[in-house]
Amino acid sequence: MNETIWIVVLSGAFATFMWRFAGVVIARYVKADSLFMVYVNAAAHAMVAGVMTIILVYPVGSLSETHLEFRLAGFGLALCIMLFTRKLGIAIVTGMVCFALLQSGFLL
Amino acid sequence: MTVHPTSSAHTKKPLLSGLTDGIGVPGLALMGTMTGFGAIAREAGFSIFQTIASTLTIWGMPGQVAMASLYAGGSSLLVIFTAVALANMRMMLMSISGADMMGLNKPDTSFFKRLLYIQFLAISGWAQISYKQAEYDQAELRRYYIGFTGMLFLLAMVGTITGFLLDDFVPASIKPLIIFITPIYILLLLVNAKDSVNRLAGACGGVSCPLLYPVFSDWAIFVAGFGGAACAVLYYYLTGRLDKS
Repeated sequence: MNETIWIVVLSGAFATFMWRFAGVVIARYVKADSLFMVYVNAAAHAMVAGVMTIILVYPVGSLSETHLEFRLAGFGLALCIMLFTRKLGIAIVTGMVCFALLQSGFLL
Repeated sequence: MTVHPTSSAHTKKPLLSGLTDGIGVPGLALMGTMTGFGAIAREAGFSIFQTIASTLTIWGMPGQVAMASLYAGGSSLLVIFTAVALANMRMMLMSISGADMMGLNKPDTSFFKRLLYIQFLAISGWAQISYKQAEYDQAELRRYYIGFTGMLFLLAMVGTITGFLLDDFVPASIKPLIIFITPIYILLLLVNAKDSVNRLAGACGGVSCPLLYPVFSDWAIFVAGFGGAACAVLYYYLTGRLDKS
């Protein structure tokens, strides 16, 4: 069983490394100012944003035991503060406090 | 198109800035999420060395969680390999994008060195250099990246080990709050991305992905990613604003 887990870990490492390796190889042949590079950058942004919103909307583990509307309210408030103040730290702390207070029932 | 500044007005050294930025919200958020992974891996039957090796070699949280969860559920090696590969496929795009931002494609940088830089690139580090791209030139950005990801890596290892050893002692009411930090932190970084076409792509991907998820399941990430980017780039291309983005 112990050996099996090591094989699983190694296969997981390879399954991730192959993408990084492919990225380094492909990057050599793509011009920095090409339309393709613009698209790749945009796709990376869109994909990462998608992964993060999936965690917010369809979480697994302990976050799934919280209310969707509380998570969205916390994020929404953080987003508003970020857009208006451009202060990342303040936005995150405010969003977390909002989420924590809603979840604890303090604001309800 | 991507425009890189040629000089920086920063007085603080990039490496030091990266280290100190890493200690703050991103490092603590990553430590929190890796605490969760440590706990999941222990439940799946991993030893502490196997858990550490997972973070050390994979360095991509969604793939790590998929690997441990599927193993715990008795999935075959092929299924685990495929799931991790799909979960971390975005690494390729981030690698191409990250190499571009940091100017790793120049002939004076060896292939091995490029690979070493990219091996430590994950969502947090990539989003951070995208956010800091406007402030540093490429050489400075590389030093910033080394400091930032070095600190993140250290804190992630601490989180992994802590999660494995101390999961029972973390109050259940605190865990959701810790996990909540990572998505809002990354999303707020994307809101501030340097190029407006990337901000629009992030908005398209972020909004459409949860809507597509009930239909496409995990494939929604790719549909929203490639589709959202296509919409954003097409809009900027057709309106002739691509060069000014």
